[in-house]
Amino acid sequence: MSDAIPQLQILGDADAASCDGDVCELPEHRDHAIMNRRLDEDLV
Amino acid sequence: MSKPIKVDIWSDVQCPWCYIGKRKFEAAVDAFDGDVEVEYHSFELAPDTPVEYDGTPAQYLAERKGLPMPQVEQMIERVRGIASSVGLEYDYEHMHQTNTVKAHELLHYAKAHGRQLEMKEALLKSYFLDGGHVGRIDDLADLAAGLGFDRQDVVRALSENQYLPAVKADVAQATEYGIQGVPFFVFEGQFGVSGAQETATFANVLEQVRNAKEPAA
Repeated sequence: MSDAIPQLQILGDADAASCDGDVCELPEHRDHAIMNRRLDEDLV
Repeated sequence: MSKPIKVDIWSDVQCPWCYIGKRKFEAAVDAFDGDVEVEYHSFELAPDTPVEYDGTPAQYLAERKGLPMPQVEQMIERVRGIASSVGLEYDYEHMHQTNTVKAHELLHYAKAHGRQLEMKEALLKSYFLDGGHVGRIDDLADLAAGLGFDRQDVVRALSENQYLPAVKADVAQATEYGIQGVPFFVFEGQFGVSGAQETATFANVLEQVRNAKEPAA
């Protein structure tokens, strides 16, 4: 890696699950997304 | 022949999303029709954790954050379910919460011997799946010896803090990037991806980065 740190262009889902400090929670919206998908699947 | 896409990954050994994200990223790399070069970097999520902590991650989180145990257990169950979906059976009952700085030093030791990726997987597996202790020098040396490293030399390197400056340099570089959580992926030193993304997202990012590197004629 270079010594000069450029500003990063952020890609991907900004709300993907990660650990920040010693807390590694699942973002709430992800639960909702999973629930919505299950509901959609049930409807299918 | 095109050069491989370089991916620098900041990660901690006790980070459940790092192992899950690793599996999802690896699945994307396996399906990608180009070369990818991976290098892991150290990130300490809780550097003030004692090496010897007599309790599970759930107890640690409840004590440290003051969260009710049922809430902690619910969080852990959710993580466990997602880990299982990528083939990782997290054994929270036998995990040893500890300080990971020596594990990071061992990762740098392995990198110096050209075997960092193998060591990264071994450390994550030991902590999350096998109930191993990834904070004590003797336990880490046993793990390294199991991979064929010179146990005595590992003990020496970890006891002398030989790779501690390399760990601190990684952490400092993460700070300069503005990285606050892990896993964090830096593609070609230009593109940042935070968190345990879905495999399809990683696949899209690899394509985007390739296109940025090698614009179509």
